[in-house]
Amino acid sequence: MSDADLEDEFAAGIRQAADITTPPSSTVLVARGLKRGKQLRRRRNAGIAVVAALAVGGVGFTAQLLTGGSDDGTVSSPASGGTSVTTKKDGKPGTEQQNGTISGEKVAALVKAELLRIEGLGADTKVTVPYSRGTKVDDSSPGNPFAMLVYDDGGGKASMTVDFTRQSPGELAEGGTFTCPDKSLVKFDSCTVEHLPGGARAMLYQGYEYGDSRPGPRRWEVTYSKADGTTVHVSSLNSVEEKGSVTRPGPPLDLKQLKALALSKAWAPVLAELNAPAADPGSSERAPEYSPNDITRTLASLLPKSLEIVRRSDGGVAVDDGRGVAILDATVSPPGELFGEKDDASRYTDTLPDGTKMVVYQGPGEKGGKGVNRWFVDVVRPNGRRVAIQLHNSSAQWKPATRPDMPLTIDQLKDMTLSPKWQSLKLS
Amino acid sequence: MGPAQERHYLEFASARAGHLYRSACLLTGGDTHRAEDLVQETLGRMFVTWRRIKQVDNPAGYAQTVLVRTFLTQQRRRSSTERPTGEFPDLPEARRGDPSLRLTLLDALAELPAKDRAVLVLRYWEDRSVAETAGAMQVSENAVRTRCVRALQKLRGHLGGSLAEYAA
Repeated sequence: MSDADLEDEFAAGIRQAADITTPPSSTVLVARGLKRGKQLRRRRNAGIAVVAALAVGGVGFTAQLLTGGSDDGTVSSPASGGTSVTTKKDGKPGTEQQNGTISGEKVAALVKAELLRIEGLGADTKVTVPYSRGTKVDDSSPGNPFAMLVYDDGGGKASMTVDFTRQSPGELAEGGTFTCPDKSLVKFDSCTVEHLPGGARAMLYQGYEYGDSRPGPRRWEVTYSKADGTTVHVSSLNSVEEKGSVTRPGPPLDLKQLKALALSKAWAPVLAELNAPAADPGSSERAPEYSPNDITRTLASLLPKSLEIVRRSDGGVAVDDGRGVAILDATVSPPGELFGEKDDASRYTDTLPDGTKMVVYQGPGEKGGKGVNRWFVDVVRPNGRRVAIQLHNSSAQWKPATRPDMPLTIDQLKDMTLSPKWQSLKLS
Repeated sequence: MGPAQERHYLEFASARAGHLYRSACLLTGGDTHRAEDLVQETLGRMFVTWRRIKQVDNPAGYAQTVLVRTFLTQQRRRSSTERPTGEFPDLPEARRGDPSLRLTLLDALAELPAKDRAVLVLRYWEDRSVAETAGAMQVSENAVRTRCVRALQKLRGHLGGSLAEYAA
């Protein structure tokens, strides 16, 4: 067989292999991607390493910093005991160069002192500060101030991070930072938002590094924003590195301690020197979309009357017919070529008489929930509008099944997906 | 990021998530958990730089490049040397060591080193040119050509026959 024949054969083969792969709900993937993006943005603004290998006790580590949005900045390994971050200066527009007076060492010292005070630890507690950044113009690395600490309070090694940012008026108004994730999409234990005096807000969150059933570190965090946009974010992990091995049963700082840290008056000098954020873009940049509320309302209207809706979320509902809870979520995409790419029609296995393309999946769930089944109907209409609905026999995809069967037949699910009601959704 | 940009990002992410996931499954040799993790990381990175990305001619292509580079970075962290053939370290437990399972193309891909998988996915699934593949992987065009030929030959060697019949 010639090389050209081999290439042709492989090209055909790899497309077939990809076609038999059924993606999970895009709603779930996007929700987790958004959460991860906000986490990375906080860390980028603080110049914290996206990937770090840490070791307590002075062993140096290497890291890769996001600077100005680039993901291939390099850093020098810090000396043992920690040092301020220095990086290649990023000349790209849009990076944030502080022009204050507080050094990275000073920020680190402040964070260490507050940590020891709030946890009631002695001054001889071994605390390593591998990374920190201040507000001084002498720091050649762009970004907001932060400090990352690794320590052992006697219960096992752990890491914690404090970073300082300033949200724009648009970000504050939109409140995305203070929106708890959808519990049917992301695994977490608790999330509460508190409204505090003077227009301040705090979100207290107990979750995991992985938003599904995979084992991994717990991540507990508090985000505190004042009315002027200055924001303190404190997080605590029962691991010495992101997505690393678990080193103790839980993070060392509970929510009460994390909140005390976030609200500490000790940060006032640092917050006072934060740059004001760039102005928000104008409303003319708003892209048309289908309202999640409209999607949920339409989905709910298509359900049989025998199903009681017990919970609503953006684009989804939880239902119960008396035999146990099940969840449905819908995705609706506008017609036409998207961003210059053709819609990926090759995976739709059926073509209906009116030209609608359809693919149906019935099989086990993929998020680790015991006994969970997943049904998925995905259609692209002749006008290019895509509607996909998926159904699980559980209250969340990674949780055990709550009922032995589905509350709908597959034909009912198909009918819901093909309903002309989806055509009346308007982009807004 | 203002609310308008976030909505724009969400629309893009919703449109591309499925395709990114398929690419990720090919890269991870069928490990769906790792594939989801890879897509999550890719969409996360796109979010961070969205203000600049939306000005790019082909944000979808850019997302695929980020996916491949993120995969290669993660692989470098997982092991400093490429895995020997004959092992399936990326496969979920249920698929390892089961002699009754017919070897699929996904399993065979999983046996290849990370860079071999990346070049095959970019060239034959993404349909990138040699030059575009070289740019995405940050290697020379000659390196892409050489790696492609060798990777295909390794695959044929693992499968012991026609590639097409093992696709499903």
